[in-house]
Amino acid sequence: MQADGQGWLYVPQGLEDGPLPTHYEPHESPFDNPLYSQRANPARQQNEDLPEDPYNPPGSDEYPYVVTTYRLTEHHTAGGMSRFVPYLSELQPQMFVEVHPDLARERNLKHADWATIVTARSAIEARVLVTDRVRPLRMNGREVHQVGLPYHWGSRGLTTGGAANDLEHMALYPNVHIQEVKALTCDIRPGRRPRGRALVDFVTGKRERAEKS
Amino acid sequence: MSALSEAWPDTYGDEAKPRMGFFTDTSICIGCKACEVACKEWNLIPEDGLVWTGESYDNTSELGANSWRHVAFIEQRKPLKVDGNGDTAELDVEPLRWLMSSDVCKHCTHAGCLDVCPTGALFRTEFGTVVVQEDVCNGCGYCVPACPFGVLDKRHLPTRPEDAPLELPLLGKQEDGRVWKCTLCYDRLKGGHEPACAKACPTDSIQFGELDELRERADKRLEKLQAENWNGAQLYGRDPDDGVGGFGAFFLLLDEPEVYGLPPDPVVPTKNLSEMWINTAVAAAATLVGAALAFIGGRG
Amino acid sequence: MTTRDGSITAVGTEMQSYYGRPILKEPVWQPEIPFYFFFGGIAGASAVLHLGARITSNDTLARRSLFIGAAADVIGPALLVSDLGRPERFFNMFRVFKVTSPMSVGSWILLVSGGASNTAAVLELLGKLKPVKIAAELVSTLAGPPLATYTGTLIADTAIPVWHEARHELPWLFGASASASAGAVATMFVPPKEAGPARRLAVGGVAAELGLMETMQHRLGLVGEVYKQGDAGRLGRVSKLCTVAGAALLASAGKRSRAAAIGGGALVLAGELALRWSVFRAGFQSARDPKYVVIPQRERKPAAG
Repeated sequence: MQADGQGWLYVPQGLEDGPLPTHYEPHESPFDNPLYSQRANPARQQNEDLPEDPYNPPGSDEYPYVVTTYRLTEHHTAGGMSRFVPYLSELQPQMFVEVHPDLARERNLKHADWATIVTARSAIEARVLVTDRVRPLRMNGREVHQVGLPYHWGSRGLTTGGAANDLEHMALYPNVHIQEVKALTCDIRPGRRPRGRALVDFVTGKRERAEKS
Repeated sequence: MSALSEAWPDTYGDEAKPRMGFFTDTSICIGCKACEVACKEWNLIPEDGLVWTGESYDNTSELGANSWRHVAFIEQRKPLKVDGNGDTAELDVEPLRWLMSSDVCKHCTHAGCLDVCPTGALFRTEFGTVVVQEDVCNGCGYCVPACPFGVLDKRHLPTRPEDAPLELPLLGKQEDGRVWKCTLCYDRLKGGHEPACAKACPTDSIQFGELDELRERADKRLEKLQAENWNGAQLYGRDPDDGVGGFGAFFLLLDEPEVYGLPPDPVVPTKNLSEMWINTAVAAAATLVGAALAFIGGRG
Repeated sequence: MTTRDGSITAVGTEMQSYYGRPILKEPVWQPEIPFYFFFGGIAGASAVLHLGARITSNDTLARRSLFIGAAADVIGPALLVSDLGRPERFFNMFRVFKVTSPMSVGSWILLVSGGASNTAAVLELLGKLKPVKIAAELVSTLAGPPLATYTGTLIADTAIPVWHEARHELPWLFGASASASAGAVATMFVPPKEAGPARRLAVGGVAAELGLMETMQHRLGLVGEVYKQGDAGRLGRVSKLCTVAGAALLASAGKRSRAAAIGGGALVLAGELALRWSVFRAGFQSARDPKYVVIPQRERKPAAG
């Protein structure tokens, strides 16, 4: 919106990308771009030299699944305001991960047991909810499974749990600098996550293996 | 038989109001649980357990002393709509639907809880609803197994303040010990308002109004859904000839009642009251006769 | 309930339920209640035994059964009050008299019985006001059989399948059990040569109770299977063992041996207490599994399709 009350598509300044949309794959996408040879948005902001924000190499065997994050009705944003309210906390009292039965079989995940979800950044744990609602992506002749994570949990409150945001990376959309948290890659393993030094070793180990291959 | 002991609306005379109730149309429920929260906030009900069940998105599990609205979630490998032959009407080769339904006390026409209450704590209001008077209830618990739907339960509160659940004024050393259930927001009705859950429901899945009018509305809604081939659409509790005389809070379901944890053919226990009392009298007489017979054969 | 592949997505099954969860609520009644059935039964049947003894001029039996009944008539209400969530409000039971509520009717029966039997007992001890005592004894006898049987109807007037579907048998079962118990306890406290009616009542009561249990379970069909499982099953087996052993002992040696009378009486009492507990626990098991609600109801009302 400009001062004269008109919206402009092409503007003299402030636009790093666009204005007309097109299709690019997410930064960590396991798929190639069906439209262009340029896979991901070339104008995206990346943190090349932040050691605490490494990226999963796209198509890596160490992080073979897509992970996406979403809301639940019962909690609010990152949960800081809803996890302290008893009436909301009792409606969704624990962090959980949603997986398709085929993925559960593939990774030996048992409904209502624990699972650990890991990216190059960190690993969190969550209760397993096996459901048909999370369907695999079928594209380009391949099937890639999805892992669904609500993002409302953290370390304080009546209900505490793994923070989905701990798994994210910072590849930002150039105009508004919003990070890509709906399209990441990950691995998922049965059981609770390692703690302390073992957690660091676990995450680092996977990252190094991914970078080597 | 239970109608004899209930004189509503006659005993209310001029104060009698038209019978009010709920029509819960589960075909438009979005599973937001605003009804559960609104009910708890209005009625100062304690939080009753931070337990993850893994039963889809339902962590409340059942109605009880501290849950007067309960949203059920059922994920099914069944289509949402079927054509005339009962086959999937949708293009999707992997049918999937997610049923959601807000359960509540049915405020039965012939209410088992009301019939068996020995203190008169449970009574029928001028609106035709069933309410427990918490200053009369002595926690005998008879209403709990008498409800064909498993709605009522005794509220237990810990006696130590540090164990007390949040969101409830402490009663000091006193265990609660009484039975609590949905009041259809009797206090709000007296003020001319609709119940908290109906007010909060964003899709109007929970509809509040005069029962006759709601029944007509439900009939029309069912006709529409059946014309659109909705799989399993049926009314539950609408029929005044069912085992509890029709529900004051009835439902439009998208599958059989037992799928939602509801009894398929609920009957008020006191339906057989006369036969039970006659039988008791005969059994009592038999006990007398039996004892008399024991005296045949002398003293030793 | 998870499907074969471990997901929560339900597939159509023969009997459907909501994650296998119960539909009904289990009773909130505590252990006081089956003990009340036991003591209430003793109180009710002892009153009848007492009158018979009076009529046949069996003074020892008459006095002892009067005191036994009066004591049971005090223990019973104490147990009931203790079970209440708000015991201090027990008197609210007398705000109303509702025929639709066996608990309401029963509370009044208990009031009348307890008042009458204890008045008679006190007057008997004091040896005063004989006409009043006789009137009290008569009232207590009239209240006795209702007291012994109404509790069967009380549990039958619920939605619990194993109780409601047994509504024809339960008052008879409880009456028989009460008779057996009252007879057994009197046999223990009365010399054998005057305890004949009590002994016969105990043995006859046991026989009737055993027959009624069999009939009831047979008529219940699927719903009755809880009597073969869990606590109800275990207690039922213990009950049968004790009552049969006790009755056999009483029948064979109770007349000539005080020791056998006491032993036999005690066994019958243990067995009848176990019976009350078995029926009590059966109700909990019946409420817990939704199949006992869904299957019989579907049989009488097939699905819409």
